Amino acid sequence: MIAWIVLLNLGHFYNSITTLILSSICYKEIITLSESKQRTNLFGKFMDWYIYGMMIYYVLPMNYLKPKLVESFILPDSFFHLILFQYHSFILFCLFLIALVLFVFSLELDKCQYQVEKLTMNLLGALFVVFIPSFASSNIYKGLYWLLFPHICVVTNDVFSYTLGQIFGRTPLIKISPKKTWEGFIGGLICTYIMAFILPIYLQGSQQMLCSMNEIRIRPFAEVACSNVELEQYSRIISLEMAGIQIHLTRLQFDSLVIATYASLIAPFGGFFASGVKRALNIKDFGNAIPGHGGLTDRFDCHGLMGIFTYFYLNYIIYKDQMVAENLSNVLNSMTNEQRIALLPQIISQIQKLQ
Amino acid sequence: MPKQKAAKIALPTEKQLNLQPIKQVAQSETESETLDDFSDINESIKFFAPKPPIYEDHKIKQAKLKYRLIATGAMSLATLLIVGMGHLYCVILVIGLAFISYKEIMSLKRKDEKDQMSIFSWIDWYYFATFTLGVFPQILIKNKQMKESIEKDSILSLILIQYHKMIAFFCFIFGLLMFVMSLKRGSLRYSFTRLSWTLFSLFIVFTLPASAFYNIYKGMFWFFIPHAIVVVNDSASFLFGYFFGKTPLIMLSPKKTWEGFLGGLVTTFALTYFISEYFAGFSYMVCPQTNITFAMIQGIQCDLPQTFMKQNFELPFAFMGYKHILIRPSTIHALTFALFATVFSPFAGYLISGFKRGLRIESIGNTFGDHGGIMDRFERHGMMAVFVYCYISSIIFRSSDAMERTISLISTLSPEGRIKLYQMINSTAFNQINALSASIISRALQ
Repeated sequence: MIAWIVLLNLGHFYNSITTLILSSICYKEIITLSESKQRTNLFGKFMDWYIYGMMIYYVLPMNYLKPKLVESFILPDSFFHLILFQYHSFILFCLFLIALVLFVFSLELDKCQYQVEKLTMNLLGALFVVFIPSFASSNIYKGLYWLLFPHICVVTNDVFSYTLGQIFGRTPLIKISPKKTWEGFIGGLICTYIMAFILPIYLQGSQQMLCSMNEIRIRPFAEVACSNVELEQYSRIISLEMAGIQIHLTRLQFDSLVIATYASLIAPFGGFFASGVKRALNIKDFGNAIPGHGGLTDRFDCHGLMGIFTYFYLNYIIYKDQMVAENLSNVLNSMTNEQRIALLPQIISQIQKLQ
Repeated sequence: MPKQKAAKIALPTEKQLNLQPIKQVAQSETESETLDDFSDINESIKFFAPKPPIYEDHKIKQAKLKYRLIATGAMSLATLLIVGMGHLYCVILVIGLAFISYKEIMSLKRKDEKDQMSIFSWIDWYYFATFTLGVFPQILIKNKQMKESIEKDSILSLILIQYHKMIAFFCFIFGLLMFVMSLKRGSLRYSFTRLSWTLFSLFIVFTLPASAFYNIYKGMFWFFIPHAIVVVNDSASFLFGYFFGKTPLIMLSPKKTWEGFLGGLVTTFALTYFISEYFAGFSYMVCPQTNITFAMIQGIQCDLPQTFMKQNFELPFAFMGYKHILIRPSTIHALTFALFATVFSPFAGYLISGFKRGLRIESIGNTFGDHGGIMDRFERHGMMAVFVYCYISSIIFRSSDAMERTISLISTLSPEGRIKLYQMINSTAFNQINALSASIISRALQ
């Protein structure tokens, strides 16, 4: 527990790196899973990590090193800028091409089926374990709250649905996991709602939790400060009328309730999916990173889907204009000066048309 | 002479001998038992070692040649006709091919007895619809007529343009939910294999046409030339292999030969040069198309883009006394495509052969009767389309794409954002637009 608190205070950048490290460990567990009794030679291991590297390269400019964040580090027209942002998709395709050629050369007639199955499993594993959780990292830069709260929701939901299922459980929920019950499910939902109601009140005024960060700061335990305008946006009151009762919620509470709904209703299915995979492969745990509890993938299977939902919610509903502005500035920065000048009259006519 | 009766020797019958057939031990099994540590290296060395030549029955070869000639001729004529008809018809052709190949791939893994009870009969098509939703607006946004006909703030606009990615994601998650709800204890392995198969094949079946649509609307040249290159390369390497083929190329496809490869390489380069020089003069081929029209055989007028104008290039070294070469940049791009088509796109074919061997099937689908299905014929074209998309979007059309993207991004701004953007632009002097102004504009929105 202390480790989590220390980690939260370290700063946005280190949390983002932690996400990367955790997803790498999960990927290593998946690789060891897909090996079977036939020994993989050195080339097979190279292929595993090559796929990982390709996925990381794909995800890096999107979530870990966004252009806005590395403005001060990586100057335009520098080598890294070219690789990461300008020719990104082309280089990705070339990497994929190299992977294809190497894979075809490595196919052996008697091991074809094993190799193809292994490749598919690794690819899908990389997708679920590296690509999807990386969206959690881009949420960090909008405020640490958006890293902390969804995960607390999932944990709360797990704990309460388990205990309530033990106490009241009668009707089973799903054929895959016979221990989950409907009573636990709904009870967990209600408890998570209560938690989502209370916690934002606590953290409403906290600058450290809610401020968005626009650059990478390597200094640990740095102070986070931002203008009050941002914090005020979260304190706006929304009134809902339900069954004759008027409820006043702050914006932050409303968002937290939405996230809690998703965490209780849909995120557990990530857990069911993982346990289905375990049963299909006849294994008990994904690995032994945590003694007694199994590997990291067991712990983090629900959190992946949570992160990507938070990403969509933040970017499309709360911060929609900011997302558009970010994309706009990325696109504009990749053009030359003459093109920007040529573009300006078109922009103005477009805005005039829309009004 | 005394007649001696030949003694009758009773030969033992088969039953008495108790013959048993000799057990055929696979070669690889014995080898991997004896050379334990070095079996992997040996396998890879075996790939590079020269192999005995493949002798095929002459009559079979002739029949194959005849079939190939007829099939290629028919398909080329049909394609030329469709290319002449218009951009939209090419799009429809690509969609049709993708549809059929998806059906073929699905039919590989379908086991009808298990499907009756579970959701797999419709989850394939549900995911197909989800991916269509994900890819469809890309075609829509390409042309302005349709985009303007969708009203602002209508439901259609919300789904397709504004919240498009989010809605596609939710549909995907909903499909996963349904999948998890339907898992049963007994058939877990089948369910997961089926799901991953579906997702994988959908990914392949959708990225290829999406790239092709992009290419088509950037100018028929970028659709026609690459696929013509692949066809030329295929036919040339087949013909060279037929007449001269001796040394095999790769273990996976024992019928490909080095002679075919090299002959195909030379022929492709030569023909590409002439074809691209010839077709770059037609404005029908060269102009980007921005409307969706059902009209057939209609010409397009536009200014000749710069990539198609002849330019003087200075060679880094003097080649036979010529220092400068007068060539269109588009021809250089086409030669790059030719290089890709000869060297790299056969690997897609080898990968499919590997898959077929891995799954122990003869061919994917039977659209063409005995000779295999759509995927067998068109995987090289698919890979070519993806390469051309990556190439032209990063290298040739980078700036014009950026302009289009800016304009479409602005149209997704909310009213307050638009007002802010307008005020900001009006207040800065026109002539002082520099690199800072771009970031100023975006920061003003935050």
